[in-house]
Amino acid sequence: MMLLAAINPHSLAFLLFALLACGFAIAVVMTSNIVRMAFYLTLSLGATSGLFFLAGAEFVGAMQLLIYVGGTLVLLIFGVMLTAQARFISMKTSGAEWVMAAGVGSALLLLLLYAGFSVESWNKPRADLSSLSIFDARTSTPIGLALSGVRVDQLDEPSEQLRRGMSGYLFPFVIISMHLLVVLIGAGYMARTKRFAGRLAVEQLAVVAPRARGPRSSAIMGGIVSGVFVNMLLAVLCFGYWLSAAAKAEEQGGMSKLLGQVAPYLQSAADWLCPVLGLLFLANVLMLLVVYGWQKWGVVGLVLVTILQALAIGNSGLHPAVAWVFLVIAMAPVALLIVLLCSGPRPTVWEQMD
Amino acid sequence: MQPAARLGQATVALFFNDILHRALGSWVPLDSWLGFILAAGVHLFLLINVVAVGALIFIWMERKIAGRIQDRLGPTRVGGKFGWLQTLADGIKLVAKEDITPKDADPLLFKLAPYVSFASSFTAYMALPFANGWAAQNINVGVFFIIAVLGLEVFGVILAGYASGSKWSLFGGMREAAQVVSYEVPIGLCIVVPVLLVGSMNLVTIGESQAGLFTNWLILHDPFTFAVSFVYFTCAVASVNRAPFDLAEAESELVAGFHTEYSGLRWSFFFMAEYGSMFLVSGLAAILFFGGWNGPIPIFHILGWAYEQGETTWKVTGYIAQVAGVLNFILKATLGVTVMMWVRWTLPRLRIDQVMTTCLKYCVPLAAFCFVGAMIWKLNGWVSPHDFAPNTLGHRFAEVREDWVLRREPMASGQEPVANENAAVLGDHAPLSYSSLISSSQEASQ
Repeated sequence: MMLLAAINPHSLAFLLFALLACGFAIAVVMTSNIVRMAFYLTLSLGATSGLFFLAGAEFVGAMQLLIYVGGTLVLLIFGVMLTAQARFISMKTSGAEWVMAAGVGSALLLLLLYAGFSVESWNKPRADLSSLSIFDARTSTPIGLALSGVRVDQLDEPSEQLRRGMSGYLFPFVIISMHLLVVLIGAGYMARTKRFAGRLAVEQLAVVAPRARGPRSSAIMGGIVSGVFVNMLLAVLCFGYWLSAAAKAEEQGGMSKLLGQVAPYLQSAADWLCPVLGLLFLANVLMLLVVYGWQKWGVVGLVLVTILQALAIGNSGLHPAVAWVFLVIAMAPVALLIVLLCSGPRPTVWEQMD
Repeated sequence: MQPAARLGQATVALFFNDILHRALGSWVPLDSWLGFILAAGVHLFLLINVVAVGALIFIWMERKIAGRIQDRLGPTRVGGKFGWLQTLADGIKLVAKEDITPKDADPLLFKLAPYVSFASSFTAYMALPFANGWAAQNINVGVFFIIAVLGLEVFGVILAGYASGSKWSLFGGMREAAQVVSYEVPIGLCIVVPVLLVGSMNLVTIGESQAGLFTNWLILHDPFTFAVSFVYFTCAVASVNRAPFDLAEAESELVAGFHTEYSGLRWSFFFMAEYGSMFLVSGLAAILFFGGWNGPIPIFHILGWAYEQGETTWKVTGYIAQVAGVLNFILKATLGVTVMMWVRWTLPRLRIDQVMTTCLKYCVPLAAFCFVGAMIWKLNGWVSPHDFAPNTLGHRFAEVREDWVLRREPMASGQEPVANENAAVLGDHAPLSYSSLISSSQEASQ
């Protein structure tokens, strides 16, 4: 009876998983073969997920399996197998690298230990072990709700001030998903094979007719440069007006005097108009640069940006005459560019762009 | 001792502890961990038999079905009629074969790879319920766990491909990796649909919410779930690496793909893993879309044999109903496996670009579209077949909140429409029920 009672099965299981995790982590460091490293890393991470399951955090444990053991390691193996050259297949570690790695590793370990021991409730054993039950494992719903903006575990927070801060993780969640989307699109863009075929064709074309791709005709260059200048001027004006409106009370410089002249016309505009217009002008400049880079979608983007500008100006309650002036100034380089691109002898410049 | 209604792990553990306590006296206390270890051993034994005996039967079935489809007889001699012992004879032959490790292989990884594949396929069974509450571990996020673990099977295949030191194997392993990683996306999207409709990731809850007439099955919930169940099955076939998606072992191009260099028992481990995964994904399809262990007509509910919600006392009739549920489940999963075999011997193998096109251009958009469609359908509460079905013992399509199944009982006149709130699906840990939650919140508001 003493023997059976003396052994705590949870501690035993914890020790087993912890030993597996640590042992295989050391094996990762000690091995020189990179694929074996990946294999040991899988086992180490799998044992960590076992620790999560043991602690009753089933959702986190399954997450660990899916993300770390599954996704990351498959990717790692892809990377290893596709890029591994002979000198990486079995890596030799020099003494200096060992020292540096030991320094960094022990510093991180110290930080973790300090953080772990500074948490009050982790230091003393839970008073009522018998109340620990499977219900502690039902964490997936609170986690899901927290990710969509409601911290159900903090609804009882007495302080109104604190409760507002406990509104969940919707914002980081959205940021991360946007980030992942961008990465996905980028990966898809880079993995495109058609792109290379197109470029090859263009290069062959360039060999046959060198003038088609050569330095663009001076008229188009002039159009682009003038567009850049007009846009820059407008952007500077816009931002200047926006900034001076913010700091109007203090300064009475020449710039704000000039702006004071046109202020009655601009006063009626909504507050958000100036920064939005300024950003759109910057986008315009960017698009012009893209056009200079011989890309067709720059022209399409230019037209879209101009339409956005028209929408913004039309909805801002600006004086109609001023709105028209703005619009014409913004449209002029675009229209000029389109005319230049599409005129001239066939094949036109538009047809020759990528 | 707690009354044992269901064969949960804790119940079995208590049963063992009770026996040991009587046999050995105070040496074994009633809450000893010894009983839990024994209970875990029993579960492991049962599950490993499901995988191993299942593989034995399915390989025989595959040969018979392949024979019939190709106008042959298949195995006929070993074991008397129908050649039903053919797989055993194959097994003996495999055990007797020499275990070869190629010269260029990485010996450690080469030897471990089959076990990695088999272990991940087998581990996923831990969370698979075979009847109401009869799962080795009733995990709260069962669906998610199974998908996470099943994705690890590819790891063994990649290791085998790499460690064999052969170009054929490496090609097979890389194809498998690309394919499985791609198909995890649509299969995840498909699984989200039932999870969304039921409101739980617990497989027992998902299965039990479809109790009653077959109109309660999720495949008949709305047109979108009907479509998405086929998308799920396609992706499941691809994710377990079966024809027409078996590019990893394409015999016509890669000799035998990732297992070119394997022989004997190690080779057969890959096959056990494959057939285990086939049964697993078919069982998952049965639970997610085809009512799980609930038959098309709830005979045992009509007879009053099945355990009612919140019932905790053991009874013979309830046990029989549970066993019938297991048979039901195995029948449905086996039907799924049979369809996979039928597909294998009917369709030609796809090219790798066709496999990727099927995944990214058809399965992913279809699954996403059905996901949105099912969501809108559920949100607006549009009609489903179960709205027109006769109300069998109050088993309308169940509402689930936080793993508690709420069933709408036929309303008695003059009574408040109170849902029958019991923690029926919680197994033997049910100290907290929905009614207690409701009453406590009412007290708080008063």
